Amino acid sequence: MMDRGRTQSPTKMNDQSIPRSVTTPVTLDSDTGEVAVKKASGKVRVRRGQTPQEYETQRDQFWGEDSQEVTGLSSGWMANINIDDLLSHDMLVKQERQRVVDYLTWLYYHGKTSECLQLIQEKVAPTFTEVNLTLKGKMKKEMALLETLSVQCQQ
Amino acid sequence: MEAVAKDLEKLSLFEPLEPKPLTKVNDPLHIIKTRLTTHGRPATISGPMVRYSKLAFRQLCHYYDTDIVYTPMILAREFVRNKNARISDFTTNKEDTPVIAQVGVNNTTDLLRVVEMICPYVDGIGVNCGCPIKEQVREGIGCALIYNEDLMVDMVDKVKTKYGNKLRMEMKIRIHEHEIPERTLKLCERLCNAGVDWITVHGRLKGTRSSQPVDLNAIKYIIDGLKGKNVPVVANGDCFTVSDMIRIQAFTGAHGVMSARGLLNNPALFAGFDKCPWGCLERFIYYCIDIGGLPIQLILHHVYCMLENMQVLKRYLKQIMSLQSMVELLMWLESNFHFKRFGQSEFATGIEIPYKN
Repeated sequence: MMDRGRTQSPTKMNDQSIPRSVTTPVTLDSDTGEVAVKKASGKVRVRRGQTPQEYETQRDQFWGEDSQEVTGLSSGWMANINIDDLLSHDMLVKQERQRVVDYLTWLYYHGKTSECLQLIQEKVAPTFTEVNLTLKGKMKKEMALLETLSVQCQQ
Repeated sequence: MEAVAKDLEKLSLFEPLEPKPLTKVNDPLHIIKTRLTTHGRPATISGPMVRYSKLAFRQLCHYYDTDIVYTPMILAREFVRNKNARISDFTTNKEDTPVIAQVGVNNTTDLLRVVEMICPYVDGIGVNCGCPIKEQVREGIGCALIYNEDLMVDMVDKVKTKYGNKLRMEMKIRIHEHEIPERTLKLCERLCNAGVDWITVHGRLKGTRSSQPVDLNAIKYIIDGLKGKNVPVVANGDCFTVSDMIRIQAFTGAHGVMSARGLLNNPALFAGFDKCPWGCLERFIYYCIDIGGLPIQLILHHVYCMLENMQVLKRYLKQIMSLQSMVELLMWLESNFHFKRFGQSEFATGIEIPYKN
């Protein structure tokens, strides 16, 4: 007898009309999206499903707190950035630091060099230096970039 | 009371959002069906490219007369589970329309979830049934799907039953056989019966390399076979210039022509440029900086492809990939070329490479 929620394989795994390298996944639980897939070695692996509650949590996050980040990237959006907001995020996370660098690059590109330089000197460089110490010097490229930007902004 | 509180906790904060409203301006199906009449040419479409079809690039393609753009393939399994995957795969803005979110998926549950999440922000959903990358095919994603016809039909049926004409749905497939792909035609007929809005056919087999020419006879066979279905077909493969677009449309009778590699090298191709104009590069840099968030290696690859297409001197191509940041790229562009930034006179208007030396 089949498990609850298990559905028939859409096509059989040993179907002659299917090339050997192709996998036809078998849905094990249509409520969660759990599927079995055949690896190249022939072993069957189960890809774990996601409960409806887990899914709704992710969906609500996407529609809620993440929506500005996902959809708010119209031309000129960086003009409204507040550097203190950016720096208030966890600077140990590379993607968060990249946002800071992107903003500085945006200022530099648009010729706002004195503002860019001031932010580097007064806020970004001190923060990045501290984080670099915590990360045991793993931010060489980012520190070098700040240096390059500073030099360029002074020219 | 405790039980009620727990039930309330479980309740979603959001009522499901509706799909983005479709109008004549953003409805991809309307565009595909009418461009031949209204513009005297097929609908021009930028194909989904793994890593490369990000927002800045899509915006660039739109600027240069591409009617419809695709996101890179979004892996449904990751998208519905992981915030970082979502941010990396999909960002958008008001100008990013019409845009189709292309999904890589191996089961209907994940598909329905990703569709529900993303449909308020895009103009249509496409399922990738053509990606030949081994890792995906082994998971039953991409090209594997064309050998799993029942699942493809089930996907279309479930999505269209839930959303009807509020949401456009496309299936992008490869062919099963050359010249007279009967199995592919049968599959397409089933997809049409299930309610698919349009089908994109890449005229290559699962294992055909891109160096082999696309099989236009096979695409024509499918289009001819679907004549009674009122479902348009988009032809994909080997479109590198406007003359290719015209030739492919004339031969196959397709409603739309999709280009991927052609646009990667020359995002201005549908605007009639046989070679990437210099201004296109300046505009791309502007979009990248204005939108932000793209890894420098990805930007450098775009710049490399465009400059190679412009036939820049080889010594410059060698230098590009050693650059480490957008600031270095700007410095390099400004020291070797008369590069214009947004706001400067003659920004993004140049055609030829403006060498300094």
